[in-house]
Amino acid sequence: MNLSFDVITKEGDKIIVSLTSFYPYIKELIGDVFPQLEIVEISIVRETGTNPIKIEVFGKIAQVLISIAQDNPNTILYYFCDLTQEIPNQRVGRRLSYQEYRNNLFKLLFQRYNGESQEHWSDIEIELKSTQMEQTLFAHFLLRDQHLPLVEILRNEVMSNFKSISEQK
Amino acid sequence: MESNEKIVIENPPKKVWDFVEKMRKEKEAQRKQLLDKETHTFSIQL
Repeated sequence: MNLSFDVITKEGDKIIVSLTSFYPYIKELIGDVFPQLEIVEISIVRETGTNPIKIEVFGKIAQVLISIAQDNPNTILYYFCDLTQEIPNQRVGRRLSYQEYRNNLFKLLFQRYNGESQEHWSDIEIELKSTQMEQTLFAHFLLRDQHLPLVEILRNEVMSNFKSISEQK
Repeated sequence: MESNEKIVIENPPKKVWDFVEKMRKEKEAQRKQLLDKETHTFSIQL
């Protein structure tokens, strides 16, 4: 899958969302269990504007993303919380890291979506923590309940035998 | 595995961080590509 769409808010801000197939290595890892499964990475980028993005806008984005995934029954969605792009208008006094802020927003978004949707999607949050580097990273897998074993496979891989993924991508 | 579960992985091997760093750089490149793209598959006006 390789598609992108833009969303122009009432305030004129422009958000670009893309969906692209994720790393072949993971496909190799899960191929025996889910041969048809495609992992698709979501990217959300602000192109113009600095207005706060209302939750309704994110709600619309979630709706479109899920609608695309529903049309592709062998798709699961993956989101890595970006740690570089600044968050404009983050409230003073709530200075979370960019990663943490996006993680909270993403969770909220799909909790809301699940509350309104007929079909249930599981949101599996992955938190990678390094006490030495004082760094925490977040990622999410959004998947149908029947694909939940996939997450277990990935977890075992990371914890026990993490191959040199970067060489195999 | 339950839905809406949080998996915390503490101090994974260095290889994991190397991979994450590579992924971060790719994400940054992807972000630039997206911003350079003139047309998209579809557009939503709110």
